[in-house]
Amino acid sequence: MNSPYSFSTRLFLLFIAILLLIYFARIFSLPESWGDYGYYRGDYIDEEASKAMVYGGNDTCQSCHEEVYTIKKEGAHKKLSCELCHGPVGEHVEGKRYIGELSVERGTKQTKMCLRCHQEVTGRPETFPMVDAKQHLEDEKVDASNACGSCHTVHEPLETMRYVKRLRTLREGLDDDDE
Amino acid sequence: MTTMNDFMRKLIVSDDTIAPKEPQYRHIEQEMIDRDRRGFIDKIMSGALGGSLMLVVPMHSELFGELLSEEPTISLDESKKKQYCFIVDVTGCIGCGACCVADRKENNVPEGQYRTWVERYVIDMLGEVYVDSPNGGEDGYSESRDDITNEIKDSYFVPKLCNMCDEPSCVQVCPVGATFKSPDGFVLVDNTHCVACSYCVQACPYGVRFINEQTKTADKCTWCYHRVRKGKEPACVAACPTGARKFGDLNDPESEVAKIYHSKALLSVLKKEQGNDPRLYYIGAGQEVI
Repeated sequence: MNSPYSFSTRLFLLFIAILLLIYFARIFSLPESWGDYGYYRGDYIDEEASKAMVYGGNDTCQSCHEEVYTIKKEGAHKKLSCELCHGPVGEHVEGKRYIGELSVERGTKQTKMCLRCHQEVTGRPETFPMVDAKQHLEDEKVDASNACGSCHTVHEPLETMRYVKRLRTLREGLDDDDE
Repeated sequence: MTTMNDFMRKLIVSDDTIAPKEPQYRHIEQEMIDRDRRGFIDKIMSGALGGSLMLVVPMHSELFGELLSEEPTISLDESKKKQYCFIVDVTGCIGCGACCVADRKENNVPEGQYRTWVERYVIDMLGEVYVDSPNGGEDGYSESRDDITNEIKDSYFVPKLCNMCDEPSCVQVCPVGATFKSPDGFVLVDNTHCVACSYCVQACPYGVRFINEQTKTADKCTWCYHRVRKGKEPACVAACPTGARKFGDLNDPESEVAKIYHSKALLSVLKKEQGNDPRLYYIGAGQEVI
């Protein structure tokens, strides 16, 4: 081993070579936007932000279903999102194209949906309108096979109740007159 | 023979200029077919062109194009100026699980894994705390806690999600720079870089991280970053029927969160002693939650 360079020079050159190797390996292997904002790929932020939405919001629904929206916006359910019961608009339209039907639940399925919020269970705040479905039907003296939708219109649940109350008051008044 | 020819000419070709003076049937027929072919091809071409244009030109109506578009409407620079904040009002939560359903659909979370979930806390007169969360509360709470024999002192629901810490421990431990805090304060996971080592899953003091079964990478709640950058609120906030989940910009004095933040309402964060400095605040959460 008769090298013209001394041991320390060779060691130094080797060190430089390794440094250069690391430097170029870094350039080739790191993504372009790496380090734009920190030790991560900066482009990912916009990639995440560009993901497609599935839920649209009530304005989206209103643009086609104005009539139901008008009923709902006055009622006790005015604050609810349409998509809460019907499912996301992203499964219903894509661009302007109709791609699928959203659920319009009736009967027991609808009851299940109502009781998701209105079933009387431990933990719910007492101020929230809750019922024990079975007990409620008994209290109101109606057949146990009835679903919530039999009496309540879901988009404005108290609409029919108001009529019932008015009728009851009228009947009471008539009864009083008879006496 | 000539009368017959004239008759045929009138019958077949009405336009005299096109028809030959001494017609031969074969010739006339050929002419007819040629002319029709040309017309037919013309029609086909214009139809096909129109048809293909229909496919190429985006047919989005203005409304849907705007609302469900994929392009973010708020630029990163604009987003940086905002101070996003999430407030959960425990006293308003009814445990219906609508947030969990919305979250699963919006973010395509596999069944059995949860980006957000709802816990039920029940405290009896002896101070014993019972916590349950069947299927993450996603099906809505329908069963009462009849198994608790003592009288119940207090009970409430606590929705859980990413705390979006200012000092996120999950970011500190990531060895490959796949999870990071963006300039606008969101802790995100770059799933093209994640090697699924699960360090972040262990590091998170709130247990919101998991390894997604489908992508095989770390996953977590992003406060629906893709919706926020389009000027929308997160899917769970939009779905909440009682408004127990609130989201907004603290720098906007008109926003609901700013009003609550600067009011006398007692806001608490989870596991404050961990020093993660969460940006998710709770109203009305009991001592046993914190």
